[in-house]
Amino acid sequence: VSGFGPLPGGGAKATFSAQETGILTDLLGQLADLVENRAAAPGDSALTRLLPDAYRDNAEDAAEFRRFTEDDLAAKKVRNARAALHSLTVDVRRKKTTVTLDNAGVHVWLRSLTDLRLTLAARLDLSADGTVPDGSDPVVRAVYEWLGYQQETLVAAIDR
Amino acid sequence: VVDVSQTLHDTEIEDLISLGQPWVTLVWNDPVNLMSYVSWVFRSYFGVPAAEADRLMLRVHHDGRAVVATGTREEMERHVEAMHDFGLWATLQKADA
Repeated sequence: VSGFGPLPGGGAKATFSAQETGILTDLLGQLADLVENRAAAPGDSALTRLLPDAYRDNAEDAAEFRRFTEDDLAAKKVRNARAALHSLTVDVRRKKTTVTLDNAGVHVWLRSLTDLRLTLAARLDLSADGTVPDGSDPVVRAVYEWLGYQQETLVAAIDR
Repeated sequence: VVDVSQTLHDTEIEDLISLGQPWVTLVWNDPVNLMSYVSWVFRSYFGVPAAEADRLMLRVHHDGRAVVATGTREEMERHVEAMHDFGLWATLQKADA
């Protein structure tokens, strides 16, 4: 499994197979739709984690904060997912996708990979210590772990 | 002379009374975010050196939470929103709460 590598002068680069590109395209599209249409899924566990309460023990303050900030925050997450989608340019002949990111692109991808992993973790019903429950979908689990590897290599590519 | 009780609502009076009393931004541990990513967020957003970012990240990891900033309520609200933008689980509260 390959991941992101550093680019000379900053930024990062990765090459994805057709299958990996298909998975990323599908998930990033779903993420953008989920956050954009959040009113249609009240109480969804992934949305609760993506857009958490800012006040832990004060529902009134939490609701007030949400009223002023949630639309902006949600719009940023949708924008990041769509920008990440847009950066997946397919080379049809080689059946591979190369993603070349400048520093702004790295920030977009780090956030979207995080949002994707938070969403999949909610779907897997990951326990507080990170254990995946028995009987969970092995494909979703494999994709979750693959996304973690991609993020680890992307952080390493720009680290220090 | 202005009668303060008539011009200020209860919440505004509370805000005045709490002037000078610091608020804190807390980041909570979660099973999803990578240690390397959390440390990068602290360096990247708060501008702290790598060693301090790692120390804060490990405190989140081992203690379940860490205070990552102290200041006015408005500043802490801005930090919490930024942490949520990075996908970290953050809340704010009064320093002594």
